[in-house]
Amino acid sequence: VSTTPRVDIIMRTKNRPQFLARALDDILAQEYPHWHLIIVNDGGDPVQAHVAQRPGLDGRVTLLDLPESLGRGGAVMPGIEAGHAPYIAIHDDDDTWHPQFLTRTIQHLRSTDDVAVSVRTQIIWESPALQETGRELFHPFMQEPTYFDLLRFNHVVPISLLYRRTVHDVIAINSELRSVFDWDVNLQLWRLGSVGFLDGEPLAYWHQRRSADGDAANSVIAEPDSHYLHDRRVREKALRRVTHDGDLLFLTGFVDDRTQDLSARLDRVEAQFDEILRRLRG
Amino acid sequence: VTAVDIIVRTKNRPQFLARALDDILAQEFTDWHLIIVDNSDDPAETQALVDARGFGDRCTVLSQPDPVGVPALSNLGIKAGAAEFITIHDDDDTWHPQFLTRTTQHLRSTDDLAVAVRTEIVWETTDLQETGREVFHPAMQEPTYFDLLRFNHMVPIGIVFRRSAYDDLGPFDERCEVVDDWVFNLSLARAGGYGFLGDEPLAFWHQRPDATGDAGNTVIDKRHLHIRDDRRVRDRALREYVDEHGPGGLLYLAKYIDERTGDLHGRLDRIEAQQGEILRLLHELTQTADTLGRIKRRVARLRP
Repeated sequence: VSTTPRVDIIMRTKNRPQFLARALDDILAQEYPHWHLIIVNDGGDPVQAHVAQRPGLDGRVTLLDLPESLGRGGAVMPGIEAGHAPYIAIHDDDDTWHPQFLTRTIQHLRSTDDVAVSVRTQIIWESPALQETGRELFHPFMQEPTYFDLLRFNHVVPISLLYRRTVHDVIAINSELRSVFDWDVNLQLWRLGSVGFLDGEPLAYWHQRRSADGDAANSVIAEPDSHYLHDRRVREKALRRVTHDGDLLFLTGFVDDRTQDLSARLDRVEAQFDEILRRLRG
Repeated sequence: VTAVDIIVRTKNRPQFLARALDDILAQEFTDWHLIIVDNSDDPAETQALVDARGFGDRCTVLSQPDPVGVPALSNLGIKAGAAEFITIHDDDDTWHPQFLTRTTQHLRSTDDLAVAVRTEIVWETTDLQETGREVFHPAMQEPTYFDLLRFNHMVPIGIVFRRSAYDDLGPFDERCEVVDDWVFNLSLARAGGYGFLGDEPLAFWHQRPDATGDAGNTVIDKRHLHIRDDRRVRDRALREYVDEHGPGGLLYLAKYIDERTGDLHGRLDRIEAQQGEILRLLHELTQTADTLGRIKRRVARLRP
């Protein structure tokens, strides 16, 4: 594998060796060979041994040891800056790909002008010991992720995305946004140009652990407060830039009035049901 | 040059086309030219249907055997004509005999860019037997941009527009597979251009709920494409808006409405739980009543 790498795979990890082992094996299982792996050890215990154990990684890995943890958002930028390949994928240490993820997404970016491409994604539920407990499609009713969808919430997780390095000429990663930094990037990415979508068989697997906390946790599950706070901050920053707020003040009051009407109806329905329950219980 | 170009797009359904050709020949108004854009696999079949009806030089057949989209077929047909007024007569739909008389009269006596008519849905089987009728959007008093923002309220069979409006606001958007007529209607309505003949239905939109493939209706058979293209149209307009005004207001409204409706969902969750509890208690009551009934019957048997 002597060719210049076409894709930099950024992998953040911190003190979860069992995840890292699975993620490294997952990358070695990719059919597409011209990648370079950049591991960002986010202030955790050394990971060199995991790399050394796998001869397939020889000469294909850059290891960045951050002296102290910068968090999910903070660790990704040093990884990106350490590489030079024209395409970038962010492969978190707990997620996995279909063996053809890189083959298919790179083929797409080579044959179009799209700034990025995302893929149909499956959620894999697992125990903290990484035993699979179930699977479901992520947003099965979504035909393709649009900017329209993104305004509500993030519909595309990092494991599902391959994008061109050139987008960073325009888009910076805001690491202070912690677990919503990827949504913030997507909001900018989707405005920058067209983003392709590979539908059909899922090519990315977003692993989630309902019951884990600490190092083994998923940020969206373990940090709901942080998610709420940073989601608000993204919107707040954009909102303060609006030049007129007459329409927003009107619509806010209007939607409030209309939902209060519905709420008053529900008050009556709830009271009736309470009465029915009271009589049934005698 | 005639007053009206009638564009008929057709593909592999000669029994529909035959009905559409007879329908056009039944129009009271005769100053029209028919342009058939034929996307069929067998152009000879289409030509035979035309020849059998003696259209003479009142009909042009454009053969387009390539698998191009519906909007491209419309644009091809329109560009082949020169009439002041244009109407798209889908090969499966029909008109009232006075459709062209009344719509051209309206456009000649107003400045409206287009005119739409009250339209009736005709339900039919795949072999074209009528099974029922209903008026399409009976409550609609006139076509508005307001209503169109939500969804399309008008179908091509019920519309005549000026060629000058098409030159200004067209062509039909070839990026769409299915909702190109909605996009064009949005532009026309936004320009304030729609008149409406709202009394007796003058256009008949034929629908076959059971059909698929060549005989299918796109709104029924290709529902997923409608959902996808609807979203794409809104997404393109949204990006243009945000490029000009920034995303702040809409990022706010999206979340605000999400949270307000989220509150209501929370209320409904509780009400659903109450309902579940009521059903459970009713079930218990019914069982108790059954038991009581059995005991009563036994007691009755025990009586001397």
